[in-house]
Amino acid sequence: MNLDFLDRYVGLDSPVHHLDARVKILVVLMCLSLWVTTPPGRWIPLGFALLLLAAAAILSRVPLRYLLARSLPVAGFVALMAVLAPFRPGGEVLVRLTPAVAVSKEGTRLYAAVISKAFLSVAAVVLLSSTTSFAGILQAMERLRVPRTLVLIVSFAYRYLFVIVEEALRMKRARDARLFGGRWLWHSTVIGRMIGTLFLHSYERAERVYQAMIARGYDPGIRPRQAQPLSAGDLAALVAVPVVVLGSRLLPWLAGCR
Amino acid sequence: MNTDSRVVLSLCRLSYCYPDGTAALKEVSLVLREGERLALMGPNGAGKSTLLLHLNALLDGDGKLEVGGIALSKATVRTIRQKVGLVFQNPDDQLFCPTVFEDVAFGPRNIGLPDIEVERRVRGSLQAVGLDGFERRNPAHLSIGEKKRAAIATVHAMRPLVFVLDEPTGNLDARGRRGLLDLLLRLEGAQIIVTHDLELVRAVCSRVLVMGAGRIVTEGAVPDILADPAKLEVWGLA
Repeated sequence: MNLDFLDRYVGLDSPVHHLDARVKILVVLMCLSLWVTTPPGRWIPLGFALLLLAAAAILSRVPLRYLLARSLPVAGFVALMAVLAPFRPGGEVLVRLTPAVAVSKEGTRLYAAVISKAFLSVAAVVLLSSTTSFAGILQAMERLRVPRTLVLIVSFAYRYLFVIVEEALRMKRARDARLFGGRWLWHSTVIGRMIGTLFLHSYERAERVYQAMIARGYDPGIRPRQAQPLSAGDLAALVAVPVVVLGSRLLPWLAGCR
Repeated sequence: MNTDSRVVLSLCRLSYCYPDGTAALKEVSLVLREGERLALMGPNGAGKSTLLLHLNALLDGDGKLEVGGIALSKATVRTIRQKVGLVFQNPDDQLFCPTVFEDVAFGPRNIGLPDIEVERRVRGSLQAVGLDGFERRNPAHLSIGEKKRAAIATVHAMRPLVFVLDEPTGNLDARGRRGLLDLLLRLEGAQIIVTHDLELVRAVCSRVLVMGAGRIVTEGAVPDILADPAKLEVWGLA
């Protein structure tokens, strides 16, 4: 079991890779909040966001196919979750299916906005994680004053995913080696027990890991890492990208003022 | 035993009961001198691992622990943990960070060392265990032998007076085992090694302490203890 695909492109050499991870996290967060709060039907800011992302992706030299392959499935999932949105009552009716159920123009617009926002947000996060190592993201979280306990939880989730998946595979093999068969009711009993065992093992491991942390002087109160100053390029990106995104939101308003 | 050298660790009449009332350790005492490598042997369930957890004050039974002349108390517990480097049996419990660098840096950062010194120590400790250049690797993807070495590096970076190792050669193949024995011989600092590996004891240790049912059954120089096969069987070592 190998989860190396998570870090496949973080070793590339590009301006996006070289940006400080703190800057990348903050920029992505600011962009996400601006995109998500864009009212449905306002396509210019979202189109602009797509251009911006495409430019960043090309600059990062991460293959577009890879980025799309990892972002589109989430957009598809959101499309499925929000499938009832076009049937929102009220507003102009596009197609009437039954007297009570109709596809409304407003609903369709909302649906399209939800899907495109979901795609943009996921694509931005995928780009962030493909240009920053996991350790770099954790380090940046710590430097951004995210509580250390939270950072450690994320770190452990990443570290022990491998261990737990491997253990589950070993249990499955041990089960199959003893001619596991029979009806689904029996299956579900056995699988339930396996999940329980897996939980218990993880719980016990957590205790041992905590002991290993204490043994090396762990104290949740201390924040040992020293901050590192941002470079001029980092600061420029930190200011420029959100200003541009905000500008695209305010474009109609700016145009109206003239 | 060379009685001239300094005592680095002493444990006096340690007793411990598990929360369910089972007595795990009964009046265990031991003394470790500078540069000494002590083997701690005994059958499964004899209390060896419980004893190790006490040496790092992770469990607190009744008894007196002194490391480097400092007695264990609430005020000194962090110092004691720094001076006693505990290497766990399963390296997956000890290597919990996303990179080897972060893992080795974890302890030095907790002491509050500046970043430059942390980096220096990480590099030095990885070199000491023969893992130079492994800084950016993910511990999950190391071989078992590399994991064992990395686990030793994580405590080496704390500059402990005493290394306490729980089954350092467990699960290793012949070559990995030989490499680890060499490493143990090179490490600076006294060592307490819990092991079932008689070859390790012969190659690395000078003294053996045999435990059984929470007590120390016997104690002596390696050749004396390992000489009699019949006794080894009685003690549950062979």
